[in-house]
Amino acid sequence: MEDLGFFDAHCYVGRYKTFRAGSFYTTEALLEQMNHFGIAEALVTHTMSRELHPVDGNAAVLDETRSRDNLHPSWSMLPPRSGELPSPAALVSEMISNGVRAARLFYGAYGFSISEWCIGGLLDELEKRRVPTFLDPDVELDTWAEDRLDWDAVDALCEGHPRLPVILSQARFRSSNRLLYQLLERHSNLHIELSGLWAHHAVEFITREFGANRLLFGTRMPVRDPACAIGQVAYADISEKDKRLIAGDNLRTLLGGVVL
Amino acid sequence: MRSLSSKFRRIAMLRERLDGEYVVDCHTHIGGRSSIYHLPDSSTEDIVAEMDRIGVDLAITFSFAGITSDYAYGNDVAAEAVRMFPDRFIGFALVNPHYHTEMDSELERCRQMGLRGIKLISHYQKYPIEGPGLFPAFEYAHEHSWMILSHDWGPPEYLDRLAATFNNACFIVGHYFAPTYAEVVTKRENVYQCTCAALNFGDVEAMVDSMPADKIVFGSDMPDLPLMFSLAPILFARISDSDKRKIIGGTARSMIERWPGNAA
Repeated sequence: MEDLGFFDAHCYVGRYKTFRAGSFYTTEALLEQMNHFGIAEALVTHTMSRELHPVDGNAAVLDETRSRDNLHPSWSMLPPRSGELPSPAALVSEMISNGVRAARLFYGAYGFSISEWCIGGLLDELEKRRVPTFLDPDVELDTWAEDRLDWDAVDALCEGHPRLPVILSQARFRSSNRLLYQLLERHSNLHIELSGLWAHHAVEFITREFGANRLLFGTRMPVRDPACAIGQVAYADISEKDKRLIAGDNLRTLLGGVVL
Repeated sequence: MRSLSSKFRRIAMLRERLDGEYVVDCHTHIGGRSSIYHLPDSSTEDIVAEMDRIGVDLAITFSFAGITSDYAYGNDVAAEAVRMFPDRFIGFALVNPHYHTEMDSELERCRQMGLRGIKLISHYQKYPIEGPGLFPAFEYAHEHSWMILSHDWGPPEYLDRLAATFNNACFIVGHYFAPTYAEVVTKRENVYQCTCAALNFGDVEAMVDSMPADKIVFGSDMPDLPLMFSLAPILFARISDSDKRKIIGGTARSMIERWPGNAA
């Protein structure tokens, strides 16, 4: 059986606040787990980018992924007016010049809004460069929180930035799948990262209704067991071509579409 | 024994069906519709097709309807699934403690329809697991040698007391979030742990470290959770193949033989 080329869109390195016994936090351990589970590549965020500050975490993830061909850094960002980070234009240029091809907006952890009045300028810059942008509403990394996305704000964001690849990434989509389908139909730039989509045949349903290009494999390591998402994709009742897209090729396409 | 060259890991890596293994899913739902979420591809026939596709021989099933709505309607749905596929499903009656005065007659009606166990989910029904409205279920299970799977059992000491008092019933801890019930699962012959929701990193290994694999049964929660979302963590786990074989079906086979229930 052909390898699916798994590319994890959502995992972390670095010590995290609620460390679980039996879990891990080093880059070496992440590589070992990827080998055990058959994951070829990973888009990595440093836990400090989520739990402390982008300044610290974004620098750390560059150190951790440097010289690791199968690990790719992603950066966390904030609303610009506090001045904690460079201006949106300078920040996006800096990330791209550092080889970073994805942005994460941890708006639950940092307590900001994804509405235009708050981050519209930042979204404009990310959209100009077609940077895949993950929206993460959860306060905690290790959480059972459900359905925290602000759906009206997601709708407006996708509408206002149609060339921005938007990826929803939350701990659990549960009672919100009826809303999700409406937005998938409205916005072709909307995608879902799978680590929180624990729903029977959700992969099959979204693939046949909206296309496999809307789904990205992700694990939420080191908190979640990566086998959950692997099982969901590897054994999905869809074509091999669609499995390859979801397992990794969709993410490769999005990262490859960044305007350098 | 930790195993990195596991047959089951190889099966998962190669995306193969679990042929030649006896697989029992001890935690599934039936009915295909729920107020909570959209449930695609979830008819009774769809569930059996999914079991066939992955290689699951047998499933314990109970209704969605009873969780949020009319439990008796839901029990009819579960009984119909057993009638349609008697070799593939063991049906459990789902009861609601707010209707405790009807519980005994409903369980007898369910037994007449071929159901042979009980599912409790009082947390969703806004009723305390330690409340008296659930005692008719414990008494009925004790009398008829039935299994009872509950979403949760409250404090482990409470489950310990129930298992000692109603010692002809079998108590299944429906979800794993932490090894909360490890001591009582290990100590009481009639208490088992279901793997359902063991989805955090290292959960399967921690479960096997804290209680015997002879007391752990696989459960997926299909079609709430995807079948392989729940099964793959066991196949990939760093535990022995012998323990994996017990968890995916061997333990459940022994449990069902010991507590077969008395369908009419």
